[in-house]
Amino acid sequence: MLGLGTLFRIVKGLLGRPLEDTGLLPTRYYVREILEALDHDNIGEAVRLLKKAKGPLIDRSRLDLTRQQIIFRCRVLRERHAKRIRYLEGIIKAHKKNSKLPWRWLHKDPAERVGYYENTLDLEQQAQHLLKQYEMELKDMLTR
Amino acid sequence: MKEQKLSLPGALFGALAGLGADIAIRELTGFEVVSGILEIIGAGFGLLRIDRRIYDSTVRLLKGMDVQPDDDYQHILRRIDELTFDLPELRESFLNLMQAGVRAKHA
Repeated sequence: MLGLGTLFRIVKGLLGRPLEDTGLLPTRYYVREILEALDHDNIGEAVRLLKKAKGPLIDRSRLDLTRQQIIFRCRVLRERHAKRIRYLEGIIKAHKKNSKLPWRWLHKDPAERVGYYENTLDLEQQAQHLLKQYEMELKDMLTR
Repeated sequence: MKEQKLSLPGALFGALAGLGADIAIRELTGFEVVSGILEIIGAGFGLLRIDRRIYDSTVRLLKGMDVQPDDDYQHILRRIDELTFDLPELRESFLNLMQAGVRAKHA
């Protein structure tokens, strides 16, 4: 026998997604979905849903707290990426320095490894830039 | 049993009248009736425990901070200050959680 919770989840699955883009759903629905996205570090989805929530009447303070939570998570993740970037830059620098030594000329492996580190560094920088953008967007929403 | 007929013009007229009434109330009193009703329906649909959900999320965020196991209380407070310098409500929630944790440790 279906419980009420299961029934609600089925209805939400069928109608929630198409309706949430309209912004007509209650603010609490958006707050709940934003927090769900935040639990999975899906910052892009959380920001998208925050923008959709149009009518914060009785839940304005809750929505604002949720927005602050996303900004906080963005900052924590950016710091994490910054640490990785510093580490990768250090490794790449050390590899490039070592590759100039004559007894390393015939080693192919380090060059491939440097390429791998550079790609990872590029991805880390992109992620950091994206998080910075999200943070700026959310800050603008705070001052609105 | 008498057969009921559905009237499309009647439905359209009803929808327009409802929309007109909503706009008139919003313009005259400033109250957003339709949004308000939707908010109440939403609260009724199992979303009453939203504060508990926000609390859980706040705890998870605090645990997700990059702090070392040997970091002392003052260091963690400084980190919270740095990260929440323009987020007053969240900062207050974090400080309340920290104080509750310290009180529980001493008890």
